[in-house]
Amino acid sequence: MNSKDSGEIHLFRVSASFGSNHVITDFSAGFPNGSRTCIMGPSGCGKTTLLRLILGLLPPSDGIVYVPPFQKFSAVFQEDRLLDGFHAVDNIRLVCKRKISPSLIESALMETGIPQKSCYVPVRELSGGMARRTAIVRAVLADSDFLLMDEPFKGLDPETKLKTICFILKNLRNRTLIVSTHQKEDVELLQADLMELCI
Amino acid sequence: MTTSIFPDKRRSDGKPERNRFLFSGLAVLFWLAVWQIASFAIGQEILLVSPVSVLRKLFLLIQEAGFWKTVGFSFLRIFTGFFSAVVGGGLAAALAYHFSWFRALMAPPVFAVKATPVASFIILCLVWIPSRNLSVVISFLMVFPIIYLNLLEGLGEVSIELREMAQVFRISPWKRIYAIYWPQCMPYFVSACSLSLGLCWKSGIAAEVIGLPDGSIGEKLYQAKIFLQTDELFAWTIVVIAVSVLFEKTFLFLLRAGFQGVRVNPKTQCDKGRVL
Repeated sequence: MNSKDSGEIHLFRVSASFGSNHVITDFSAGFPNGSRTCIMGPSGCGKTTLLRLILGLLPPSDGIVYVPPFQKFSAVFQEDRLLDGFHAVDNIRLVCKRKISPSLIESALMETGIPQKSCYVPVRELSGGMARRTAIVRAVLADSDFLLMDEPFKGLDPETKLKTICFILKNLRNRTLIVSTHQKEDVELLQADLMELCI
Repeated sequence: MTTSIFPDKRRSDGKPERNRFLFSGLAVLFWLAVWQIASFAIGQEILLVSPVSVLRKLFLLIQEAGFWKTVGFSFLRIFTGFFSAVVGGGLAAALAYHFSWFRALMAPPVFAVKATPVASFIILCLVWIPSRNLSVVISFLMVFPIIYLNLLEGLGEVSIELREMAQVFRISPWKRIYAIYWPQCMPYFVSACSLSLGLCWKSGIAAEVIGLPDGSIGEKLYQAKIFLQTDELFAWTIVVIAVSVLFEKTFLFLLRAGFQGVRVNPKTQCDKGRVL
């Protein structure tokens, strides 16, 4: 069965560059349906670029990025990318296609350790860690087939991180998960395969 | 606490402006006194009419049957010009934001309209259109570049990161406008409207003074000038200022009230059930 039939993401001899800076060169990989992959590597090795290529936010300078048709993505970006003037619940409702009740979102946020009173505070007033978890909950609750996370746990203390990982795994629903991280323990905690990139 | 996309109307030291109205009132009284004294010193009502005479004339004008008809005539036309410019400027800004060729296409006429004196336009337009509708066109021409350029600048400030987020999560166009584009553009739009509301009245009345359409405020101003009725000239000027300020305040109030949904009130959790 080839990659197109199985609905997996496939990168074939992909290169990406910014001007004369070649970030990714001749890179091939496949992400099977329902798989969990942690991408690790030193800063500047192209983890974020790889995720952006898969998300379609960056065209490859060479090679093919194959994403099955009609597949939906959700993502945690390197920055939180939340709407400052909206509270956490509305930020999440904004990306949910299906009807989702505020109480359900509230309990999801509380599962990651965000207190109830903070669910209705404009996100600009939340701490960095709370905003990060809001971004994670948004990506997890969004209607998607692929979940991509770019260093999702940065700024989280170990206990909060564990709670957040439990929330992700509980709500993953056999979706393909691709996470870029610097922490080797994340591979184990997410029960994921490891993909190492080098400069 | 309530957060809003609108600027907080507090002083920089954080104290509310309790005495703002008192000081404003005193300032107005001071300048009225200066006016009265100057008029008294000159001693000729034709050269400088006293505020008391102007108020008396204004009171008489309001009681005349044709007063509200005259105000309505000018208001309707100037408002039409303003509203068309807001809609047209908004649409043109959206198109120019998405299509660089459209932005390039719009640049010369917008620059020309901005740089050309309003009197030139009034005289030029009088050749092509009847004087009755001159103020509509002139108001439109004065407001359009302000709305267009301000909204375009606001759209340019929309963060690329949020646009990418909206793309990845496939947020619908309406939600994007409401949640991403509108909050960013709102301050620019409010500022553009505030600036152009005064300008459209000034230019619209100027057009009427030159075009002299029957039953307009401009015509009344012109007649007052011809017959050296300084009190009437001042009275109509006060009417123009009052209607312009009232229009501006009402429009900006409605604009703000219409977009209260962008506000977040955590105490009452008022938007807990709001459908985005």
